[in-house]
Amino acid sequence: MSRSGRVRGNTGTRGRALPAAALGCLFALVSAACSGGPGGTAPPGKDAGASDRGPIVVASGLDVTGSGGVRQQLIEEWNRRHAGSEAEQAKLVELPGGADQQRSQLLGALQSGSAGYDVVNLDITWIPEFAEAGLIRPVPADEPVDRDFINRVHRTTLWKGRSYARPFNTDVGLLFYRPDVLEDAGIQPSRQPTVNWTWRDLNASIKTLALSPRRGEDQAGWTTQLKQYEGLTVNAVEAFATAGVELADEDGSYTASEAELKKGLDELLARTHHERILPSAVSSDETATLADFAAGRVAFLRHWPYVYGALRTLLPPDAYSVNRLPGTSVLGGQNLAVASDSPRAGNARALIEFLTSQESEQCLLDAGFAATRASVYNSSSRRCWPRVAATLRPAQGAPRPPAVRRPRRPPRRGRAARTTRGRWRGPRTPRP
Amino acid sequence: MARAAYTQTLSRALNEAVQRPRTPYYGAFTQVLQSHVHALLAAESPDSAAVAARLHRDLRDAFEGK
Repeated sequence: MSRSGRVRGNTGTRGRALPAAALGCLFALVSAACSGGPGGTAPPGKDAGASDRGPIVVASGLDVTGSGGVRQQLIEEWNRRHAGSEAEQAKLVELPGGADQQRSQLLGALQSGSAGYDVVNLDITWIPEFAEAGLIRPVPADEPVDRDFINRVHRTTLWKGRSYARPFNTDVGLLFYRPDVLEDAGIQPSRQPTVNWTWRDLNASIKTLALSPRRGEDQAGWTTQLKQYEGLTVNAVEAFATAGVELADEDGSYTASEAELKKGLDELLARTHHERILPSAVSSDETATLADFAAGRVAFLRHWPYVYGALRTLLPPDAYSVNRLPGTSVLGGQNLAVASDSPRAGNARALIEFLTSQESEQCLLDAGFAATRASVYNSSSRRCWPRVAATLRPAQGAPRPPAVRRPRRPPRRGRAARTTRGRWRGPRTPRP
Repeated sequence: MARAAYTQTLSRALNEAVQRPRTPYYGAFTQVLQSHVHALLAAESPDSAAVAARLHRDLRDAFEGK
């Protein structure tokens, strides 16, 4: 890998129109939120010759896959493969806190150049801000786009016509449901979710459920994440997009009208009508909604792909299933970018290529993340690195451990959930 | 549900999904949207027209970095 580490393009936008949060950090460099985090990761230094030395420092949010930390495992695999080269050794720095705290920390660290991060794992929603501020390098213009990345996922790396990152792991809203709960209410498998389901179908099913004498007072049709945090933004944008309302164009210009906003809000209100949704949804995040679903308090759940793996230990196999979310679903995920001031950009790019290779993406899927490459889904990709695979939890198809707490029927008063609350924190996009 | 069926579902969903708004002011955008939408959902008798008017004004500012 002999690419130069030069920052290309983007010089015209650097320094212009810095978002408020970035400016806040510029003016408050001494504050903890802007200094690159507690513990003070020692900067590798920017002195002469730093580019020849390691390690390649990767800053990322906490890996919470519950699978032995697949990101850490992938980096260890890279290190084993470059065992003879000190300059190519990589180190993962995990940032504490929620998504917004991580964003502030990364912004501050990159603005001040104090943390020495070479690679940053950015939530897809942060790409325009970091690109516009000149904090991450565009992918070299002469580097061909890897067509194996799912197109819509690749597009999350773009800002104003240039790609700034490679997609590491993605995410998308899905509809989970409880076949056992539905059958108990007389809804046969032939009337359960299909790929063609619309919100009309979902609402009809929820209505049938509500009429069932077997459903309790504390039970409802569905739930989702409506607490005041990023999960609410995701759910609102899904309702807006389903109603045909877009808020901004590709370049970030606001495009909606007041009438369109009302249309989008009315769609969200219809979905969240008190006869349909669990009342606690308005204060629920990913963990709480998963617990409500596992306890049988709802038959339907909008959630992220990691829940498919998480449910395996919470419910018997015939008690949950998943399909497309009716209407339009929103993408999540993280992209890997090279910091503009990294003195070892060539090695950083090589590491990113490794972390987003077919093998690594297969490992990520096996660990419960959604992979970013099409080949991983049509089984034409190369297998997960064997030594990484060995550290991951048993594959989804493997025999299940004997289940505990497995109600044959949906519990009347949802006992199981309390014990599961707080247990699963997956690689989802929004964080409380 | 077989794992193969799950990965097919996931693949299909990824090929149809949309992004949240793309803007350098994402932090401001998401705060504005969350606060107005949460107030609407928590209201006794939600007035979507009134919230749409306020949301429109604040989103316009947020996307302009104001």
